[in-house]
Amino acid sequence: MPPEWSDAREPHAVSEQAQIELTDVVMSYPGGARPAVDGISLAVQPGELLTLLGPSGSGKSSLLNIIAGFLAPTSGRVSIRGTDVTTLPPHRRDIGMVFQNYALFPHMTVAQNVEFPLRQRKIAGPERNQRVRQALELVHLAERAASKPDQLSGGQRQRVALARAVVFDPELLLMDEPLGALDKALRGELQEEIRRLHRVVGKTLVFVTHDQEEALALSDRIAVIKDGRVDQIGAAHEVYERPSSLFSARFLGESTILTGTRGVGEAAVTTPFGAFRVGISLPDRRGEVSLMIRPEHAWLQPRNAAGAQPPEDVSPDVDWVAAVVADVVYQGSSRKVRLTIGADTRGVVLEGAADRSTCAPGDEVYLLWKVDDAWIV
Amino acid sequence: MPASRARGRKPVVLTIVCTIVAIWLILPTLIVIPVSFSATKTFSFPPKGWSLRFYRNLFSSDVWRQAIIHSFTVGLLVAVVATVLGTLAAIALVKMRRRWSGLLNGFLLAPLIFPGIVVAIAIYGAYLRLGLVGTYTGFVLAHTVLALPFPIVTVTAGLRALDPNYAKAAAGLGATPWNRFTQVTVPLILPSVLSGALFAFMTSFDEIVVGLFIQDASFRTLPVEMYVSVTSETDPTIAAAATVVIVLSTLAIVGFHATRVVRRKGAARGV
Repeated sequence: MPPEWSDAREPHAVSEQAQIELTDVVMSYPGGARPAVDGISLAVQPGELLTLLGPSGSGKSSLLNIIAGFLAPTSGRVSIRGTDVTTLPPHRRDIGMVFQNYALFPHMTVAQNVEFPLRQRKIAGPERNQRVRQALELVHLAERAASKPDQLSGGQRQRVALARAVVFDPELLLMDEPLGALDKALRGELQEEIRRLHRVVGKTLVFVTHDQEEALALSDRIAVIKDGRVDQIGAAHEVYERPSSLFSARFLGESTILTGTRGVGEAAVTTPFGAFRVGISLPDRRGEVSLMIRPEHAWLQPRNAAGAQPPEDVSPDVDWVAAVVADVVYQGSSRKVRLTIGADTRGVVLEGAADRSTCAPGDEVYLLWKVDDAWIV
Repeated sequence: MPASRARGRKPVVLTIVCTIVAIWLILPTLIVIPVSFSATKTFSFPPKGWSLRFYRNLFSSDVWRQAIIHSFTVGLLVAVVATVLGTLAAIALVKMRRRWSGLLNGFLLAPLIFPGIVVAIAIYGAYLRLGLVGTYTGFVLAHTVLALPFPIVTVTAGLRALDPNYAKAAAGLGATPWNRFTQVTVPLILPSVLSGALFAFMTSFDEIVVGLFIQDASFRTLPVEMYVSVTSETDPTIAAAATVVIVLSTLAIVGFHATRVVRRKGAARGV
C-alpha cells in the first residue's frame, strides 16, 4: 500500500537500533596519498536529519557513497538496521538518493522518472500511478508530470529528483550536495522544502554539504568531517556554540579567535593582547589554547587615543580587547564589523538594529564580550 | 553564406577553392547518372538519346536482382551483428583500465588500417578450406570484421560522453545491472548506436576487394557484380546500378541526419 503522507503524521516510532551504523570505515582510492575516509565510526538515529559537513576533499562525499554502496570500504563495516550491508550492491539497499546534478533521466518524462524506482520494484499499474501522483503533489509539480527534464528549471528538476527519491518509500534518504548548483534564493526555498519533506515522510536523511549555513539551517545533528575523520558530531547549536576544535570553530562560521597559553591552575588565557578569563563552566583545556567569541556575542565601545584605559561602565563579568576597525559591511538587517587586533589577528562583531555603533574604518575601539559567552578550544 | 555576408566581405578565394574541390569530388560520380539513361548500348557521354531500358534490364535480369538482394541482406545482417558486437566491445573498452583498453582498441580497429588486399587474400585462403566462398555466412563474417570498427568508435564516443551519474542513480533507485543497461544506458546512447549501424551497413554495401575474392558465380554482391560486368562487357546497366547505389546512399545519410535534426528540434520545442 502506498505510504500515507500528511503533515499531521504521528511521530515515527523510535527503535532502539541505529538506522545506519558505520564501524571503523576506511576507504583509500588507488594511488591516493592518504585514505579518503580514515576510520569513521558513526551511528545515525532513525528519523534523524544528519549533515556531513566539511570542505571539499574532506571525504564526506566518499562516506555518503560508501553508505549508498557505490564505493566499497577498504576496511570496516556498514550496517543498516542492524544488517551488515558492507558488500551489498547499491540496487539492493533500498536507499533513495539525490545527486547534485539531479541525474534525472533525460529520455523520460517527469512522471516516468518518478515511476522508475516503482517499476524496478514491479509495483502494479494503478498503485504505481497513484504513488507517482502523490509524490509529485508532495513537491508541487503534479502539473508537470508530462514534461521532459530539460523543460524544467533547476529548482524544479531538483524537486523531481526529491520526488523520485521518496516515491518508493525507502528506509533511508541520502543527498549529495543537492542544492550546490542552485542560486542562493532558490537554495533557501529548497532547504525549506527538504525540511518539510523530511518532516512529512519521516525518513532518516543523511545530507552532504560544504555550506555551514545550510548545515545549520537543516540539521538535527551535524558531523564535521576533516581529512577523512569526524572532527565533531553534535546538535547544530552545539557544534556552532561549543566546537571541539579550532577547525570546527572556524568552519561553522566567523568568530574572533584569540590564541595564547593557559597553564595548570590558571583561570585565564595569556595572549599577546592580555590575559582573558575563562568561564568556569568551560572545558578544562590547558597548553596552547584559543578563546572563540562568536560575532553575535560581542559588542563595541569607542576607545580614546590613550588606549590603555579600560572601557567605561563595564560589569565584572565582561572582558575586552583593544582593536581597530578594518571594515564595516552593511547587511541590511545587521552590520558586520571586521577588526584588527594586533598585527595579524582578526576580529568580527555582528551588530543588530538595537545595538548598532557608529564606528567607521580606522576607528579605535574596544571589543567586549561576556566571559561566559566565550568558548575555549 | 549569411555568416560571411554578416561580416560584410565574401571570402572569394575560399569560395572558389571549395567549389573546385566539390566539383572534382562529385562530378565523376554524377556523370554516371546521365549515362544510365542512355538509349544506346555504349558508355558515351553525353548519351545519344534517352531511355529507361537499362533500369528495366537492372530490375528484370536475375543476375542483377540477385546481386541487389544479396547486398541488402548481407548489409543488414552485418549492421546488426557488427553493432551488437561493437556496442559490447565499446562497453568493455570504456570500463577497462586505460592501458589495456588502448591495446585492445588498436587491435579491434586494425581492419581500418590493414591493406584491404592483404585481408582479402587471408580471408580467401581461410574460406577455401572452410568452404565459405560464395556463401551468406562467408560474406557476413568477412564484412562484419571490416565493419566492426565503426560501431566501436561511435559507441565508445557516446559512452564516454555519457554522465556516469545516470547509471549510478538508476542503481540507487533499485535497478539491476541489466535494467540499468537496457532502460537507461542504451536509450541514452541510441544515436551513437544507430550511426554505428549505418556506417556498418554502408561499409558492407560498398565493399569490393574482399568481395571479389570470396564471390563465385552463384553469389555476388552488387559492387562485385558491377565489377565483373564492367570487365566482361560494356553494358550501361552498370550505370543504372551505380545510380541506384548513389541515390540510396545519399538518401540513407540525408535521412539519418534529418531524423537527428528533427529530434533535436522536437526536444527543443518540447515534443
